[in-house]
Amino acid sequence: MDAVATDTGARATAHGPPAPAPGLAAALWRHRLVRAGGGIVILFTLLALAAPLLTRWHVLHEPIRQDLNGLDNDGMPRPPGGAYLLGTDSLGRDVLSRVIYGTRVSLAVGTAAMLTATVIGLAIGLVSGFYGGKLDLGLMRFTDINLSVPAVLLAIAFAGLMDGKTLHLHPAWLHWPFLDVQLKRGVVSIFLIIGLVCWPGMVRVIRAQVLSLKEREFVLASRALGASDARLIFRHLLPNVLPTVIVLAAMTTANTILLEAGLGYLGIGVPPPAPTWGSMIADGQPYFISAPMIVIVPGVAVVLTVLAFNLLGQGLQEVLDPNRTR
Amino acid sequence: MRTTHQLVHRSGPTSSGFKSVSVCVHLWLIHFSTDSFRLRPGIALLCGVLVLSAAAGTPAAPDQPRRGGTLRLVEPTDLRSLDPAIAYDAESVPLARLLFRGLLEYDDGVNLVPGQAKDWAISADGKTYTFHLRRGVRFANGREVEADDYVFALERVLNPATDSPGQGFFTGIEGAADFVAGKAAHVSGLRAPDRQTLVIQLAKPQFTFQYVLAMTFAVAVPRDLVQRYGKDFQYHLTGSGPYRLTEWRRGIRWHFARNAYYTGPDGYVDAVDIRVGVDDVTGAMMLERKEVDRVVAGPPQAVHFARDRRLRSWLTRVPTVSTDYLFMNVEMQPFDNVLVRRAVNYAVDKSRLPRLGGGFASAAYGIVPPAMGWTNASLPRYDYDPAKARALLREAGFSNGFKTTLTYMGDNPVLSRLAEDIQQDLQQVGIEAALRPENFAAFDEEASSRRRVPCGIWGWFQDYPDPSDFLDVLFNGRYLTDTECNNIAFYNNPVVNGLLDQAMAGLNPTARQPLFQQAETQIMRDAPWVPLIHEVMPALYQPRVHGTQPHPVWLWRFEWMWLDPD
Amino acid sequence: MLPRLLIRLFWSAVTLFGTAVLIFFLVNAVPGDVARIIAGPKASAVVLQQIHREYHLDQPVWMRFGYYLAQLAHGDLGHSYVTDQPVARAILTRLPVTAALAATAVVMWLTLAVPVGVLTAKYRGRWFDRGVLVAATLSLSLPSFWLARMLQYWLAYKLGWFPVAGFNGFVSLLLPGTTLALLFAGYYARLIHTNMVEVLESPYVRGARAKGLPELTVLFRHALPNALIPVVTLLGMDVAGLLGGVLFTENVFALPGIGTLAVQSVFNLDVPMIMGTVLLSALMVVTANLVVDLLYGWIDPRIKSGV
Repeated sequence: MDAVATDTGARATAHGPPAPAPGLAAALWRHRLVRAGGGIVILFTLLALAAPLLTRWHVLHEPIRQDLNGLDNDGMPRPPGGAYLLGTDSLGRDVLSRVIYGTRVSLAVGTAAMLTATVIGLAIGLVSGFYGGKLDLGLMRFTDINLSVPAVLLAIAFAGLMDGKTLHLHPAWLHWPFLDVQLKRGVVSIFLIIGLVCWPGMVRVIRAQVLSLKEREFVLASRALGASDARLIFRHLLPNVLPTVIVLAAMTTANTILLEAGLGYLGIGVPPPAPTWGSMIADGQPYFISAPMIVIVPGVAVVLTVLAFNLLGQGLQEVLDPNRTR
Repeated sequence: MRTTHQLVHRSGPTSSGFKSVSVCVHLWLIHFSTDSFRLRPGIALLCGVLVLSAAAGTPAAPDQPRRGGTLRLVEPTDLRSLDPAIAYDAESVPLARLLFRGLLEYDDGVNLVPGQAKDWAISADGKTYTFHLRRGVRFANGREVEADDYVFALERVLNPATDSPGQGFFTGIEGAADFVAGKAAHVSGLRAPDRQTLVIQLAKPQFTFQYVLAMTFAVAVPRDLVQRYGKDFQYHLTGSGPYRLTEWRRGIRWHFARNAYYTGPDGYVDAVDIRVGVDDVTGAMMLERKEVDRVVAGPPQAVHFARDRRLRSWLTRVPTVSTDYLFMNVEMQPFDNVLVRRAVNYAVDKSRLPRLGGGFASAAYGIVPPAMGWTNASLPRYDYDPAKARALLREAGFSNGFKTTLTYMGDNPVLSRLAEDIQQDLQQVGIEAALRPENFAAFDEEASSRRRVPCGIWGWFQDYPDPSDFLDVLFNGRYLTDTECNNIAFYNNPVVNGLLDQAMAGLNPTARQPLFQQAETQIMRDAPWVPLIHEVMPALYQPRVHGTQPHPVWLWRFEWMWLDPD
Repeated sequence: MLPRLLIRLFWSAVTLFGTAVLIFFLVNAVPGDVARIIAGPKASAVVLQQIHREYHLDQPVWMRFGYYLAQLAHGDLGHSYVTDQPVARAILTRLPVTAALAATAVVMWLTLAVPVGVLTAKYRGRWFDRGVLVAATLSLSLPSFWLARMLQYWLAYKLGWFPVAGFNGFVSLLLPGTTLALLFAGYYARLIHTNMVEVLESPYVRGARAKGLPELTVLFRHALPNALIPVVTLLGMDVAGLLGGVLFTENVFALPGIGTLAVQSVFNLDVPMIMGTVLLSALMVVTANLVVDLLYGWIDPRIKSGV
């Protein structure tokens, strides 16, 4: 794998970045960490996608509706065993099934939030690194400001805005109802919030990469040939930043999933009765000493998923971007 | 009184008597099986002692109460206030009673006995109450309690500026209406002819007024201190109870120490320490690890302790005289339509509810709890019938159902479970109810304000053992206010008002009963509530805590608890 | 050195100011309910009007921010909308616990990370390398609130080695401190490991070895300080993350710190309290970054002139 990476680097010419080396995917897969992390991610994705089907085939239980058979005679959750492999929760629902359904929410929100953060982070990082000067200074200050508030607090503050009001993004005299955003809690507002909280973490790295790329031969050469700013950014910088961004994307997804769980735990994530890992942990708190599985299992799911993305990110870094010192 | 974030609960009969007997049986068996004659007299003597103590001990704790130690309590969220004019929930009132005392008390049952008044008399027409205060009763700052302090305290509760939830209990006093309206500077019906005599004149005879005087709203407060501190009195709470407030760090900790001037019999522990911010499962873990002395438990904790052989005796349960209910604000759409309200009643499946209370509840079909010794044969039954519910909704014009929000106290585990279950029941008949959990203080303020909460779940605990405490307080339309209203369905039916007023005016207990029954029946027909369950409270006490017997009115009395030596 | 310090101070102040602006506008974007929160739902129209005037609620947001800054200049952080206690006092009473917790955590994780990082760098073996890597990544992947509960359940409740919850002196900080330490230790161990590996190969260290200095001296006097430089930087940046973790941990262990206050105040829409806690956290982050920046400049003379 190392051979491929340096090969790629060495072959960069004045004409721009090299075409992707053949067998890159194979090289990626050869890396142990990528295999481990990527494998878990793929497995969870498959489970997430297959969940409704599995429920229809009665492999999994129904995740949302209360199930009185899942409660014993005192109305308490059942311990693991029998029809409920990992026990049931406070409303009798199978924990394992709910956790698998929770994968859907976490992966969806996590990925969407990561994309949001990446788009914003790329935009700001590229512009800031490329143009430098006062713009760079201003944008970096803005990033710093975002970084001085703990992510959770900022997310809660954002979430506090989501109380059902409608935000009119158009002036009053222009009736464009499609620009009316309803601020209520839901999947969309959650991933937007998390994305808005996570982008600052990406900007620094992207910017640093852009700064170093700016001075590379092929960029200077293109500039000398009279290439426009836009061309430089989109044709030369962006593709070369991509490996870094991909690595960052994997690591950021880990963070977004953690954040989503945290918000769900605080009760301001995706609203009930949607099965999310964070809200399951929160709901399981009162049953902690009598049925600890309700708290343990979703937590393990979070750890596995986040670990997977982190391992994937590290593996990808070692393959795609080994020269960058963190 | 209103349900709080915690479940309030008391210990059941102790098993000490039973234990003594079983030990004795074992010893007796040893006696007959041993060949050692030297042991026999000893064993016989021991047995005799045990039997005697068992006989004397049941149902009370075997040893004598001892003074000393610190009682460590926990609360999930901070108490709203221990100011006696404000404290009105099942957790704050027993704590306020540690700091403040009044004219009358209850014995260990529902009978009123003299408290800081040494005797009292009611005139023949039932309108004049005369109290003679004990001498030498002092506030925690040393000053002797005077009749004027009681006058001040009651006027303070009536004063609209105090915003006391107990104001409605005292409007029956002569001159109260003028005082509340601002037309008079004082309440003419409250007089202190001398320092040790208090005379209260009622506008109309009111059978339950004596019970009202035993509530914490009617305790003595030092008028000089309240006037000096104004709103800050809550930081300088001083009363004539067995303890005084030594520390209150908001949201963190309360600490009570002995009131050196208190000469009454109550109060065995030297100090009470309350940590705020501990939820019930953390509290239960701390209790098992002996880091706290008492935790009011949610159903999961209660069941966990009940099932564990070692921990079983730590759990005490008491059927509370209370009703948890779904209320519908009859002033807000669509609950202004009685058909809709009846539909909701038919939509709820009550057979499942006791299970949701962790087995610590019984389904409720009426307003006044049977635990009060109450029966009402003519109550309409709303047995579970979703088809009928849907039919009624169609008749009311809601064939496609409707959307609403169901507000409840998120930090109360029982109410939370009820809410989730009811949400699903309502969904079955087409009513989309979005769950809206609130913390206790926020919910308390919102639900008791006009036109803010369309429907929700709450509970009501008895203040005193009389059906009027449920029916008159919660459903008499004449007491409706815009805020701090106890009638959170904002129900107002003149027929019911009339029945209740008539019942309240009567002085004969047996004559009042049928009137209350008729009122309850009519209320259930109008269906502003769906009565859900009558709670049984589980509370957990460490073995070192004694004196945890329940009380039918106060639920528990901290001032009767005592601790084993360390 | 001095001009550099002044420049840094200036930018720190700018960042702080910017944070105040950001949060103020964010939180005050919620209209209307503020007066009700202060006065309570029972308030009459007259009282509401009075509050509107007193808190300048009828003015545009930027003017209200101006009033807030003026207040701030007098050291007054306002009064809680919900409990009416002074914000500054509420925060100051809780600050010691949070600070103590944070400090305990940092000490614990450095105590764990430094030896592990050094030793794994010195004695490199493939499985050892990978093991530390995975453990480090694992520690990063743990949700703080879940880890806190797990540790509380197993170590405090089941085994009784620590108090379950509540604050009763330093011993109550051990388990929460361990929770936070575990979250960060892995990453730092790996970082130190990577840096140590690099430093140990450097000519500087090889020179020291060639001089015949004892291995321990080489490790700790020559190699480690260089390896720790980026760690110091990271510590500064991680203050924000640490404060975030403190939020959940204080909750689970029922510690009377700023974390619990912050969460409560956000849920209650208690604007002055929110502003107070956010400003405090921003102050801590900015100060940490400033200190780290200066330290970095002092340690590494090459940076002194740079940006």
